[in-house]
Amino acid sequence: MSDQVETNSPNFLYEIDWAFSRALKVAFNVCLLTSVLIISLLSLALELYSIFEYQEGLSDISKFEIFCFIMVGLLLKRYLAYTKNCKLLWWRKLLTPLIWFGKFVVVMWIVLSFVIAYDVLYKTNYCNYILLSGEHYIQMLAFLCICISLYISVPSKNKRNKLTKVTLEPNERIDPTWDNISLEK
Amino acid sequence: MHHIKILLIFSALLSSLVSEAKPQLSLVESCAELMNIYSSKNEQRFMAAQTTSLSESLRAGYCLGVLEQYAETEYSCRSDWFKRAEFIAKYNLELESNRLSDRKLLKLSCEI
Repeated sequence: MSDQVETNSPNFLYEIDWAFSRALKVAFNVCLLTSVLIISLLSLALELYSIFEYQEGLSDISKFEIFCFIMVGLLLKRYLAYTKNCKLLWWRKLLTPLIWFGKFVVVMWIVLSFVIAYDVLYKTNYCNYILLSGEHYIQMLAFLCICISLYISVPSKNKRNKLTKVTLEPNERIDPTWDNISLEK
Repeated sequence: MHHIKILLIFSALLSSLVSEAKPQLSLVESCAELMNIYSSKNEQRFMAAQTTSLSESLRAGYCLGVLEQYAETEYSCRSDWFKRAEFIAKYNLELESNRLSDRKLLKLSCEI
């Protein structure tokens, strides 16, 4: 009995404090999601820019990039097919893969920041080496993240549209007896 | 029909990009592309053939050609082309104000 909280408590400050902390949580959530979304969109733009780096059209695309474009197309088609039968708002369908990709990019930046910190502390040049000769590997990693983001962004099965129950007329019903089952030789 | 429309829009976008292209070959950028292909003088990087585009390989070839041509004309230059390419490519990370001319870079690369 002692741990029960009175719902109609007259303490006004208690209510205000509760509401304020929840509002603050929502505000922080919005800020974080917006930041992740901006990071994700900038990374995608940067990725596209690095593909068409020399602005020479199809000559700028490598075999690996063609393969990745096909993969992204297929995964996008799969994602659209799965979300089609779900109760989801259009903006949520659009933002979920982007937010996932943004999260991956943030993780990659955290890892890179460790390398930069190591370089600063021990006066090494690993970061320069990665930027200089690891361009293709970074691109491969980014494409992998895009593909994983699209793959895991499918909504929960609980959000699927409920199937309508079909009721059969009495004459359409099938009697599950042995008489209705015919065995053919 | 829908897919054909998308393909047509995509190819139109690509052709518009091509028409705006400026055919410039920077030695520093080209050597950076060469570094993305080779991990040492005799060894290519993992999946280099698959991850390199036509434009990138053209630039890498340009860098290699310039380095070899310069080594032939300058008798004092006998160092490894990979080391020289790496030296020049590092200037890609430098600020625009610190940039040296291609000839100066080639000369400096021979001194390593």
